[in-house]
Amino acid sequence: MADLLGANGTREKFRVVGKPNIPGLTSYALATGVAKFGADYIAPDMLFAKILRSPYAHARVLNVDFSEALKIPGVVDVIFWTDPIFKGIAPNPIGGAAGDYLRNEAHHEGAEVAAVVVAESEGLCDEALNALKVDWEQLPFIVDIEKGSDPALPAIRGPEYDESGTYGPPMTTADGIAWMATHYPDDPRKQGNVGWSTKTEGDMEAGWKAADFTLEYDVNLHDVVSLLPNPQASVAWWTENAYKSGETLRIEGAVGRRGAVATMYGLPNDNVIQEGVFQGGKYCDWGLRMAQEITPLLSKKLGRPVRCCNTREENFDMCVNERRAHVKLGVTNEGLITAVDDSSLIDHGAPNSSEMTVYDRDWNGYYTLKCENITQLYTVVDSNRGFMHTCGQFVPYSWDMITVGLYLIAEKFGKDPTEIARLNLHGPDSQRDLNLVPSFEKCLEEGKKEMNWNWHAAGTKRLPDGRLHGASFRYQMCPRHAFLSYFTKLEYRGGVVHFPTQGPVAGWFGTECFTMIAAEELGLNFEDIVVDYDYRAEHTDEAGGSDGVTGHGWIVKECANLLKKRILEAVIADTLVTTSRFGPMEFPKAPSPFAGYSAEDLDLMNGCVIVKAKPEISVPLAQACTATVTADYGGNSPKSAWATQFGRKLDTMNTSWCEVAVDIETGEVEILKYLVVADVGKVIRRTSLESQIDQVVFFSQGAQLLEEYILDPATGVKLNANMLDYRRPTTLDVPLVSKDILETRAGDGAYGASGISHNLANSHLIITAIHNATGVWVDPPATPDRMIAALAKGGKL
Amino acid sequence: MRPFNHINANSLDTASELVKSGGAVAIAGGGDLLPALKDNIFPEYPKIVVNLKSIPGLDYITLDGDTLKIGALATLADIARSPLVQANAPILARAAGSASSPSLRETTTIGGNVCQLPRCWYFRKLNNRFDCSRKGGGQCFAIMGDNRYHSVFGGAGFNTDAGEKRTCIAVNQSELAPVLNVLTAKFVTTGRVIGNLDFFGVGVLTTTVLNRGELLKEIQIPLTDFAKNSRYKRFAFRKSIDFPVINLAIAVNSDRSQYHICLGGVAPTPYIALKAEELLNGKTITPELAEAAGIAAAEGAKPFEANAYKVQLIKTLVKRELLTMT
Repeated sequence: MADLLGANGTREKFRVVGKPNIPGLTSYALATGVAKFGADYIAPDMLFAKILRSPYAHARVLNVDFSEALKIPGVVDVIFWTDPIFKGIAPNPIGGAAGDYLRNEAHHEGAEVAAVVVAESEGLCDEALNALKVDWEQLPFIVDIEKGSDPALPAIRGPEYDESGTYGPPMTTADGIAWMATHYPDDPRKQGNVGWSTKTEGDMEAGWKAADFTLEYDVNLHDVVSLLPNPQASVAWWTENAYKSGETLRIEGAVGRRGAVATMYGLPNDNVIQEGVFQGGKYCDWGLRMAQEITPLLSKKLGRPVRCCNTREENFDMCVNERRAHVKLGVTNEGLITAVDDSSLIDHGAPNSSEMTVYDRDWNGYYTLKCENITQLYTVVDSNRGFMHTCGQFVPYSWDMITVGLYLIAEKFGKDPTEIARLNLHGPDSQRDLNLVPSFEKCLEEGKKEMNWNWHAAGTKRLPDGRLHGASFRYQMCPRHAFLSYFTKLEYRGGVVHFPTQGPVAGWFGTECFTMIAAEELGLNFEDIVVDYDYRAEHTDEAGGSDGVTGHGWIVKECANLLKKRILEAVIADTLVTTSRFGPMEFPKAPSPFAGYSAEDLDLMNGCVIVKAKPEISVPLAQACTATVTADYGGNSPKSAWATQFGRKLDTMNTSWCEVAVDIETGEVEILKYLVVADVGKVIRRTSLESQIDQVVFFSQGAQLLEEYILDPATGVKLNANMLDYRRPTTLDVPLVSKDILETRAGDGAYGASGISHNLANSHLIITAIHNATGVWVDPPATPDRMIAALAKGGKL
Repeated sequence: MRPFNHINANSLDTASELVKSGGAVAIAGGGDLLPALKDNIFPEYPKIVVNLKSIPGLDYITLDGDTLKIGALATLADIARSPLVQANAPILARAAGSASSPSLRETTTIGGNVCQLPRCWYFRKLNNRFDCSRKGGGQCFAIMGDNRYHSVFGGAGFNTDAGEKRTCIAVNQSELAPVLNVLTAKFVTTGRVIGNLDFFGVGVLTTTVLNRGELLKEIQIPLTDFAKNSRYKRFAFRKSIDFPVINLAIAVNSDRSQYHICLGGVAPTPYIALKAEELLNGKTITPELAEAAGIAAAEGAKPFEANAYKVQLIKTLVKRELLTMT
């Protein structure tokens, strides 16, 4: 069991945490349609807005003739990028220097640019947009990053995106580990659209020398979309408020942190009324879209509520950027990796895209190896492929350079890749620790058992129906966000504990997890905690899925313990009061059974205050404590190995396993079984945990079997940015995920819990299984067209 | 969606006149038209949408002697679950039941399915982004662009209203077209009766030979022994929702003297695999013959690099379906 800080890290008996079938607090609303999403919000007398979007991959708007648009009855206004309302706005959600909110240069097809039309209906907005005569200056663009990697090409970004200030030493973690740098001091300076970033650790020369042979391979990761199926929207208006100074902004549907909206508009939090807790599905995409942010500006200008709603097509922003890795490994004849050289060509996306997807090399898995000699050379190319909002897919998504490497070593020696993984994985404490990692060993053992694991060489097993059989394995560390700070407040009043949260309600049902933790610590039942969804609350669920819940859960645990202490102190304080009053009358009060005890002598159990030494002295909480008691707790949860060591220390691990059948004549791939064995340390809410696994595996399956972002090479236009052509898997296309959840308490969140979501996301587990079936590598997604081409190239057809 | 006038037609003649007058389009189930309107793909946005669903009595499925008659407004779901269709033309029921998704099959019609516009992503890109040849523009963008889903049997030449020559390599992806072809269906319109080999075509904003204002009224399927011994196979990347990348219908008469093979998704119009038919006529299927027929079905294909996989699929699908008919 981990040595956990804080209260109850070593708790052994759980009444609420881990209890199955705890219902979702908002499930009824979601299942019945009562839940309101962004697009559902309307307001009386509201106007509608639509933003002009670029039909070109890179273009500048020189002029817009809007005279015809304004002639359309019901069209109210056309507002341009030059309007003062767009000046001096801080970017959301991270903040930064205030600047122009709307610009006249578009850096990808579909980008919002230059003009907003406002009308009495959405249809009239479409009509008005169509009537605009836009004078476009088409500019050079890059959608093929390989072609774009020529430093001699003209720069597609202006001087305002200069990177010269980003050359410097890397940030370091709390453990003193060198973490992320955009460019290191010695990196060559950016030329044209191409920047370089090189990180070398260990002694590469010694690493190559120790190797008996080298192994080179490519791992190509394509970009996939974030795809928010619930259209992003907002409606906003301003009011004078007699109780607050200044105007109050009311914004509905822009689900996200209230603080972000307030910061953007330079308002005190109390001057923002925010409505909406349901945000729908998304994968670690924290960015609000322009449709959610722009309505206050427009409403201020026009004096009426304004609504703006994206179409689904307008929601097709990138979630993961393209990366083409060429990896060279030094390997001994025993299969031990001695040197790693990763040369990656990476898409930088449109300006202001999340760079977390680009430069964060540290979570890519190399540090789980005993090998300490690692060079990573990143060639980063500015492009016009699309915009990447803040997202975190990059972490596990790029872990598969090692999955493939270990598999290839195993293939070379005719060995089981799990053996090669065991050989190369370092011990729990450091890369030089030769001990086995208990959590990994357990996940391996369980996985083999459940898969009936019987390794075979590539292309050697045929199923009775004639298809080829393949299997694959990968491992990862379970993640926990420990770099975010959290805040929780709990209030006891009227016999009930209230838990205020601003939400939002996202896929992982974090509020339920937190409520269970609070109930556990307070000796109450889940139902005894009243969750108050309140936009004014500081607590937010936007904590990063299970990875964040386990960190945030620790804060809730501490807060609940603080509240418990204060409640018990209030109970003791109450024993000193001998009378009660009603108006002018005073009555003698019955003596408290807790008189003579101290708060330390008491405990909360099953909704009652008890004396620890004499549990038969028990009074229902509502009677025992009539005071109102609050507790709040904020800050960071304890350091997590995942977030500070990036794999150099290993605690909770997971393994994923996949079996496929490949029809070699049609190129069809069927996933026969997909198993996740995860040591999550401690299960908080099983339904949340399982749904996290389901969605991350669904993402991974889609990315490897069907999904890709297709751009027209000649124009840079997105060709499949719609629900039909983009092809997310349907439930018929992927199997149910088998899950085996282990609880070693070895994590470093509340009760030794770790998260699960990010590090199960992968790009090559299925691809590796396909290779095991066919002996052929296919770049994801393994659609039949790509499969047939790869099989033909590999001489299999 | 931009504003338009919506008119409920009470007769085909009224609807025909309205559509003929220009600036108007007909809508039945809306499965094809509504997304096109929402995406604003037309060069001229229609001012009037003429609702055909308000015309009574056009959704029938009846048996008239040895002919199965289906009204143009019969939904795919009705066709799929019709005992008459299941008993007399089972592959039509199967094809109708495999199109799109359950909810869309409840609204989309057989008329709409056979008249649907191309699925080419250049043609369909929103806000009429590509003024392509199929809209009367000067260029087929797919020829030099991303053509992974396009024709492997070359493009179709056609003339614009102004008489200018154009080419398009978008494929016909109607779910039912290959089936109706092998069943030698007749298409009854407001003005004429068109045979299966003549109905489908390529033109500006059309996939049929129907003239402006000419509306499909009924589809007639002769109940020959072809209808009884037939197969339908669709190949799509996903198991639901998707249009078929390739679909295939095969029918053979009882003495096996004549085979009908038609493929969708491989050419601008449903593709009759004549070479394969000739090879098979009069023969009983053997594994060798099935394989040879698959190869023959793909003969003449001139794929692009990106859609060469379709040739492999044609060979495999034809072979495999024939092997189920031994």
